Amino acid sequence: MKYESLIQETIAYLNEKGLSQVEVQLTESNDFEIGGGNNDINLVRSLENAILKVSAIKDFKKSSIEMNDLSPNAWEMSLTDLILNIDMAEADEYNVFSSYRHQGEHRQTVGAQGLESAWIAEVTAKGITELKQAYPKIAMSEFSAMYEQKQTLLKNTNGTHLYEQKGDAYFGGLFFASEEGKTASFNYYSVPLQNVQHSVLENEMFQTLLANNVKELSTTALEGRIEGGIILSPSCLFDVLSSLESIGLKDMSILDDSSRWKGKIGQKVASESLTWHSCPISSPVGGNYGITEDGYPAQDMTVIENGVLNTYMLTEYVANKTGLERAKNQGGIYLVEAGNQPLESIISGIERGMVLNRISGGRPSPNGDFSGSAKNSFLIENGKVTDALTEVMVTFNVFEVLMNIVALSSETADMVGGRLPYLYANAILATGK
Amino acid sequence: MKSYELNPYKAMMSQYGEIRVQENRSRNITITNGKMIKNERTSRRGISVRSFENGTWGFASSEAVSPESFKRIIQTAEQNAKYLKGYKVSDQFKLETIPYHYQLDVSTKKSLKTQGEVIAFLMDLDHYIDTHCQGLKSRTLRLVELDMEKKLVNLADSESYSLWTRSHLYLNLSTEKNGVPYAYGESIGGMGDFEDYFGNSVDLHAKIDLIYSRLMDKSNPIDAKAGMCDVVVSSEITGILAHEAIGHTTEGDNILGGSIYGSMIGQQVANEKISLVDFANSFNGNLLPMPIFVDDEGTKASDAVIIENGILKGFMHNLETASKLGMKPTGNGRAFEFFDEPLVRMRNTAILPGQDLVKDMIASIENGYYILNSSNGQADSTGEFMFGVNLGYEIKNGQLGRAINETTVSGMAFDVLKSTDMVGNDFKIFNNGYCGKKQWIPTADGGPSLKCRMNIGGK
Repeated sequence: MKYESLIQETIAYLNEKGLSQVEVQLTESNDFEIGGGNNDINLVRSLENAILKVSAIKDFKKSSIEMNDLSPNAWEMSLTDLILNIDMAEADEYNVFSSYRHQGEHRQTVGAQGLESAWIAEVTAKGITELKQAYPKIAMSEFSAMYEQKQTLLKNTNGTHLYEQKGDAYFGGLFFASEEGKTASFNYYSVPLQNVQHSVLENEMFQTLLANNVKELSTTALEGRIEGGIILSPSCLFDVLSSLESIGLKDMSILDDSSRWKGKIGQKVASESLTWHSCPISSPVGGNYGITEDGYPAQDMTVIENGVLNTYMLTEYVANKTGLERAKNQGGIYLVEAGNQPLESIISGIERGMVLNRISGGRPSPNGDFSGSAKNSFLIENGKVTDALTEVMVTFNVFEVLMNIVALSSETADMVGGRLPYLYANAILATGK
Repeated sequence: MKSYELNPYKAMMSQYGEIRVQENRSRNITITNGKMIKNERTSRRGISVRSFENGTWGFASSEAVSPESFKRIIQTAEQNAKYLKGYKVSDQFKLETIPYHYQLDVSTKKSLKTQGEVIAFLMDLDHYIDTHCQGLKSRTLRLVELDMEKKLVNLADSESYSLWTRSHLYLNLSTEKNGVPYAYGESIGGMGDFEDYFGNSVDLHAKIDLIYSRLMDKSNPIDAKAGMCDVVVSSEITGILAHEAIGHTTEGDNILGGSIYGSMIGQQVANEKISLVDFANSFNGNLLPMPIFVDDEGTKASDAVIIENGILKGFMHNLETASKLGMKPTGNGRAFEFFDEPLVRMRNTAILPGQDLVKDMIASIENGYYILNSSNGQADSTGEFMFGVNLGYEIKNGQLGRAINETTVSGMAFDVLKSTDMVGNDFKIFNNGYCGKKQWIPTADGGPSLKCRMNIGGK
């Protein structure tokens, strides 16, 4: 790595200044992007960066600084700032650095590796060409194919020495259909590039959403209400689980005691049909990482197994503070096991309901209550998907949705950081104007 | 940064382009339940070059700021501009540049507080909350500051330097009632530095008392009745309406992509009381919170009048969208980090004030809601928008009643603006969050209180 020697120099410099507990993390990145807008590829970007994050603890006081101006003067000025700041910090006996020890350096290579920029350009160009032919009414209003390559080296004075080589390759875009003064609701999707052979349009869910978006040029207002009979699409389920991570599993929600799942490890928090894995090491759909936020090697874990809560997503600081267990990773990957019923079969059993593809909304409140606009969504009538809907509000509680799962589809969809089925739950209300 | 001389590097470029050096600095101090859980500074500095050739943009950036790095990045950007030669690029277009020279520095002129003084200030406030606000489960104070310093030149002879800063203190409280958690928070601050807003901690006690009383109201809520209703919205909500409901759908790139407003220039889209402008830098002689005099393409920034007396008048543009739509660039090309390319972004998006009083708006509603504070919002290409309601109260027979549970409000933008029959004489503009698109970026939005009709989520 270009700046590798700075790690030991930083530790040595701070040791000399009386700081015996130091952690330094260097990340060097090289990113390549091809993108554009309005179905037109017209941007190529090459980005290089290096970020040095330095933390120090003295008398239980902690301070951190992050810099990318690594010239000698700027580096020294930043460290001087760090030293001044640490004296001003408040002491907290739970401020610690990772104590992970390994013989030598612990190395981890995760995510997409060895992709060529020419190949990325090819699959993107092919995808856009195919999209224009297959869906002439649709504009990819903004899109990009990105390959991010990062190397991270973390060392601290406890002897922790971790190295991660990470690759993230994805195609993502926002699209909507339009014709003769009519415009469909926009939608977006991200395709993990490591699973693509020839064209970004190979992804089945991406194709489904594009085809649906053309149908959404004509919409119907919802008459009355629908209570129950609502199916969350895989993208929707991704967003629900992401919210649950934030309000139920991660540091702040446990620290400020707002999580409804506090005290529920080993208890039923979802229907038995739900098993959710968070796998930053083995994820087949991107989003991988090898080092946790608190300086440990990341490991795969199961968050909810057959409806039972296995783990929170706590860093060492909050784990020590609360007496709870430190998590193997801090989430961000949603691999949910498929059910045993095809989607068509689930739909056939619903007299009046909805396929909810996207929710445009704020964030759930700490108690899990959430409401938002239903987007790119379709009515179900007498066991069949019928009209695209407009101006529908949905209201539900994200915790209660998991407790009221009726079925999970046998089909799953791949998106960056997620492989999820459709989820049919009661306890969702949809209302029209 | 002000002293960096970028003009000599222009000679290395063979096509139109921009050269930028930029540094973003931030400070984040978070105190939860009396403990400092975050005390961080970050700084990201680097150079970028964007080159234009035959309808294609090539962009390159690096953290290394040196003559050798400039030379290498210029070469990479120009190679990238040629990279797509083998692919069919459909749109060739010429750029109409509007060059300008300007320097801006909004950083504080007061003497700076030490880190110790800042922390002591925050701990004083935390102590006040701890001793005066009963029944709390948690309290969090988060000081978040951002400085954006950049220097830019382009081959059309623009040159600009700007140092823009902002400082916000976010106060979040939570409680629990009958096993159900409730949370509420507000922010204080704006453009400028800590010293411009925070002197004596006693000055914020009244604000803390207000936030606490609103949390107590929220913890005794009723559910809103789902459906269309009359609402009075505060300036903050008006800003979200301006930004989400109208702003995004009138950005030039969304217009090119097929936004529904693309074919509606000259049409009545709002009540004639409504005018909406994306201001470049000033209103009524006052500098606005997100002042842009020269954008990140080097274009002289001008106000973009979107709606005037209810009529749709225009859109927001960067060089590319202006060229493709046959309009003038408005200086809306903005980039957040040094490694970001400029996109069409908003600046200070606001509905202009009217004559009405908030108390009269509330008094005129038999059954409805007064919406004061929001979580994030989103717009749609169809003109539908939504935002989360963080604090609202029912209105019954012209009087404020109980607080409502957190919910979401939505509507079709032009329907809401056509239904607006009262426009307040108050005017505030806010700059305490970020707008997401391909990149996050700070923007400002606001306006007066409004009375209109919206669709509210509930039971």
